Amino acid sequence: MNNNFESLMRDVARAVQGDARRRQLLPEIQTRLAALDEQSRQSQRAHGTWRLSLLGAAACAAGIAFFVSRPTPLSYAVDGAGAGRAGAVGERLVASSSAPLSLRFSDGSQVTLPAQAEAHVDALDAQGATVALEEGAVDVAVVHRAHTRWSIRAGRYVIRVTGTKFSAAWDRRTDALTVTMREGSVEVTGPGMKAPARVVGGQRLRTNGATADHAGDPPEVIVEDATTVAAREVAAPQLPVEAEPAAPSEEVAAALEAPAPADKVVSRTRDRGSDRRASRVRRPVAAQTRLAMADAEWRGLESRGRLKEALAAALRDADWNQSCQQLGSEDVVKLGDIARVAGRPDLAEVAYRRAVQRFPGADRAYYGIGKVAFDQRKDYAGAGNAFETYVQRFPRGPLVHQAVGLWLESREKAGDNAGARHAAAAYLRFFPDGPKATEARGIVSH
Amino acid sequence: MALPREMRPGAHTLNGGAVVYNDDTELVAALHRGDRIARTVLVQRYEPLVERLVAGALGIDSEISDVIQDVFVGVFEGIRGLKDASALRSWIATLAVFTARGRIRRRRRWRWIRFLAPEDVPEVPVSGPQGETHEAVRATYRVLDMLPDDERMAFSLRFISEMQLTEVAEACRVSLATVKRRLARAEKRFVEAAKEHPSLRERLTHGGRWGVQEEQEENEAENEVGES
Repeated sequence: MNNNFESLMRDVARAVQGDARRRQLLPEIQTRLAALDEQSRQSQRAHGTWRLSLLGAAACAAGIAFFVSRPTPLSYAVDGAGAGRAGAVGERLVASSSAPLSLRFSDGSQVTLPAQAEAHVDALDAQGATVALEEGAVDVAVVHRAHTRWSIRAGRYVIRVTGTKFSAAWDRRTDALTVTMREGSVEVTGPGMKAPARVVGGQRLRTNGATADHAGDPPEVIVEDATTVAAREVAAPQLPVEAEPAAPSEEVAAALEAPAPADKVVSRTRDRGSDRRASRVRRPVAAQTRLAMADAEWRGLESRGRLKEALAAALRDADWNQSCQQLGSEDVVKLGDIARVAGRPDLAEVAYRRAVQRFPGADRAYYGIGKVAFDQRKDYAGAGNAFETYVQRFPRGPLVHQAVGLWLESREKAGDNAGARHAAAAYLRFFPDGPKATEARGIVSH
Repeated sequence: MALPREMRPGAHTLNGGAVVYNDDTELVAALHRGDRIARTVLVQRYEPLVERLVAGALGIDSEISDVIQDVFVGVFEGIRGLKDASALRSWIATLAVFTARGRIRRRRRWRWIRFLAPEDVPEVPVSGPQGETHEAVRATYRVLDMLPDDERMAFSLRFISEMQLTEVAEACRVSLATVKRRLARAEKRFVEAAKEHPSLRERLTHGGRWGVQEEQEENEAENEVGES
């Protein structure tokens, strides 16, 4: 059996097991088995008198209804400076200037406060939680379940969530809210908004309540798609950019003459000022169009599985560093994945490390750093560190099974016996029946 | 008068008053007594194992939860017949293997009745990996669909669910030698059939895009990127 076969099988195993874990089957199985159990009891009672049976069935139905609808409020733990402690409703949560603070909820959802952000959990119930953002930003990943009811409050704004991943940033002084969606959808309500604004994956919402208050008009709410967001940010960069964009190619120069499609600005709650905004989006800025074009092309190729071509497209017209600096969390990690599997560990590392810096909750970036070190650099010590970090920071992350296994494997390959014992003990804590459990027990006992 | 549940033999109280069982002997004894809490503990303790085996056998499949449920129904129905508590784990693994195999056989029969090739069977949309990994996983299970059931089960248990050879033999209720023979045949058939699938052929010839990269592959990718 050669390495290629082993590698393929390992990837298939990870994909299949990862998919099963993502679907979180245990609660579903438990509910189904409980219902079957009740049905079985019902049928046993059917042997009694008709009247007793009827009463028994009613009791069973009530029992099932109680079991299913029994409200169990969520709880949450705080990971960060005082790692692993239980959090309380109303507790002031402040991320330090050097490290993010993660809130892990019992339904599997996670809210991460980047450095210096401040929030508190306003309410917890069986269906979800309300998190109030006091200052800065939050990175949110809510696990979708039936009747999920989550919301994020930021001043006068409320973001209603079912199951999704997004970031929200709020500036208390200007009352400006930005919601950047990665997956799923949310509805945002706020001052002066007559109807909730719906934002879906790949879109960004921006609004400013203070301006509206001052002008006495309803606020301007802009929902843009990802391409427009990228283009606007290049036109008016708000974040430090590491490298200057290259000179425009001939194709780009030609494209500059053409107006941007009108559907780039997806929707807004009122028409006032639309010309001004449209002209801003259509402004012929070389880097803006370049990045937007490359962005659209690599996405299309990536979605069709043509990853080497996607990498080439991403590199062709936009600076890699700049893309990693401007795009959203999901996209930067995706660029890292594309570069990694296309055999460019150098570019992959740039993307993953930038994602880690900009989005502390981007768990896949940590995992990607470990994969590059393990598979391509053969730097097993570095890989072990990356996977260990993943496990410690995202103990409920979707890749924790793979990460803890690779952490163990990395330490072994690096000849780090003490580290391997530590990793093996962690593996057994997470997965006492996992595929490496026997091996891990052997390592721990030595 | 009956003792409170936490004072019964074999039961231990943890934080919050939940009753757990330290080992399978205590758990099986409680199951024999008809303890409903023991059922919950059993599902919590062994669902990951069953999930791993069933998912490995079926792949990314919307029916996985149904099969896992069937396994535990079988466990609860048959637990009274289990005399040796130390065999609980392997017995559950065997039930999982046979239940998954039964599901595969049933599908195969229906497919034959409907005169559809495997690739013609409409896919149930499920979540899962995207892009190349998705394609490799789909192709892998298409190839596995072509293997005899026993070989397929041995293959998935060993290579996808990552069981030890002895565990595979135990779960399949055959000797170690038989498992080795089945695996050798299955692997040979798999590699042969994989040549018909571009995503698998590339992986098996040039190395893992998602796994260990060979230098040649890296150079090729760099050249391609450079040429573009």
